[in-house]
Amino acid sequence: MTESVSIHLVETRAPKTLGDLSDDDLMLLVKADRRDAFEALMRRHQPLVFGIATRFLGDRALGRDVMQDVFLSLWRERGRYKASGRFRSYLVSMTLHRCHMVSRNRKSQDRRVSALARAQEETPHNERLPIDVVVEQERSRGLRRMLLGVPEHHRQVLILRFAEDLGLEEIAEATSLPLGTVKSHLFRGLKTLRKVVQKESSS
Amino acid sequence: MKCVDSSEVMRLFAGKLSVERAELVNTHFDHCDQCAVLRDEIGAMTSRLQHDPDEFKDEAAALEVMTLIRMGKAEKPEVVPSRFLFWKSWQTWLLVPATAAATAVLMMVLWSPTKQDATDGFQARGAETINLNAWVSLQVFRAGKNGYEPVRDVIAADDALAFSYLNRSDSQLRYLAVFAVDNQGEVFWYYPPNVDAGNSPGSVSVQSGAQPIELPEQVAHHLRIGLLRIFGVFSKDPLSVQFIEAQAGRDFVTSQTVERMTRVSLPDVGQYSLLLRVENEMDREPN
Ligand SMILES: [Zn+2]
Repeated sequence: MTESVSIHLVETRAPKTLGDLSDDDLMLLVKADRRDAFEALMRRHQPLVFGIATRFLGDRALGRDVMQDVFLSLWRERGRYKASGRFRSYLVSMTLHRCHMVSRNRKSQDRRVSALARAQEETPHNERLPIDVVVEQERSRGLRRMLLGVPEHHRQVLILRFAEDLGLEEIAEATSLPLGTVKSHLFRGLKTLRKVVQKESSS
Repeated sequence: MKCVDSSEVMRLFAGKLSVERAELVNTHFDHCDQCAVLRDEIGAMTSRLQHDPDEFKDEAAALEVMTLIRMGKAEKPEVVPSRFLFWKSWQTWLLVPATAAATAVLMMVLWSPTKQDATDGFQARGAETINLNAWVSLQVFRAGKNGYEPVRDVIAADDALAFSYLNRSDSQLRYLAVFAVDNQGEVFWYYPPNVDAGNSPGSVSVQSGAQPIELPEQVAHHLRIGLLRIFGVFSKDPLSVQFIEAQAGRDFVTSQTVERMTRVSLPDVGQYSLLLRVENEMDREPN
């Protein structure tokens, strides 16, 4: 199953030249219904969206659903994007919007890709990873759980800043928050996270 | 300088310190092991949030998305000009007496309540605080087998909806946006119908008058089963789709359900909202 999937991926890989284009240039092609350009764009940003959603929701399967949903609506609403060199912020704000909604409604009735997705979830993702990577992942999974102890609007900036390494300005753009608010959310988020971590390690 | 406390280290991490102060604190770390330990502890905590580069790479998930797109499952809702269908539906009503009676009911629905509200708005409040909501209303129709039927409270998930509006603001409210929010907070656009490319999407210019006016398109979305609230927002200036959507998103987060979300917090608008129940076609009684 896994093997046939990767063979298929090799066949459908976008031409190398597409990978060299900027996000905005790719989106221009996407607006002209170019699926190969969309695929290139998705390959570039899929881990970002998946990572944010998983950390925000504390659940890899939900994070995966959100990621697929975000890209499906990016395609569906491809006409809406205006090239401004801010594609990443645009994508991140779509991701956060989804995450907030999902966290309000944890029911997973929205699994548009459910059958395939479930089969994937049942396969442990890190099967073939070296042991130290697995240990490290366990560690970060523990922290991910603790992250859930941080209020959502603080949590989102913590994730963007420290997990995804976005700049403060970019976070402000993606969250539609003033820069000062982003900074104080970060400060408060850090404070809460530290408390949660300290409590966890002392118990 | 004096030693820093953890709160100041976190302010440093959050970019909240002034450039001068940040420089001082950083210099202090070079000389004070105790404070450097504090910095390293917080640095270690944040670095644990980072992931190994492949942790969130999921080619299979990406492939599933591409498959849906290739199958055409991720396309926009279809938009059909409805003028012809409207005409056809009127024709049907004229031919069938029973449905002609429904027409009369529909006209009353369109007229009486709003007229009453508008008068109340005028009398109860001064010129400045006139309730703009009282001037506007929206009627929802679903495309059925025998033409258009006014919607009271139930629609099917893939019903094509059409709208007529009543705008008695005497040209004060000149733009209209029609959209729906479901109980997952997802926004579906009806007017403008196709939030599209180059032309900046925004609410569209509408007329005002004493007669209901129909919108030119019918739109079908694949809606979720459950509650759905339809909003008609009439504004003095055009509002962008993104702006409205962002505001609606925030309001949904605050109210948590569309039952409670009766308004979108937008300044200087007249709005009308209608709560509907979305059902499967199968579940509906044939009519
Ligand atoms: Zn010190």
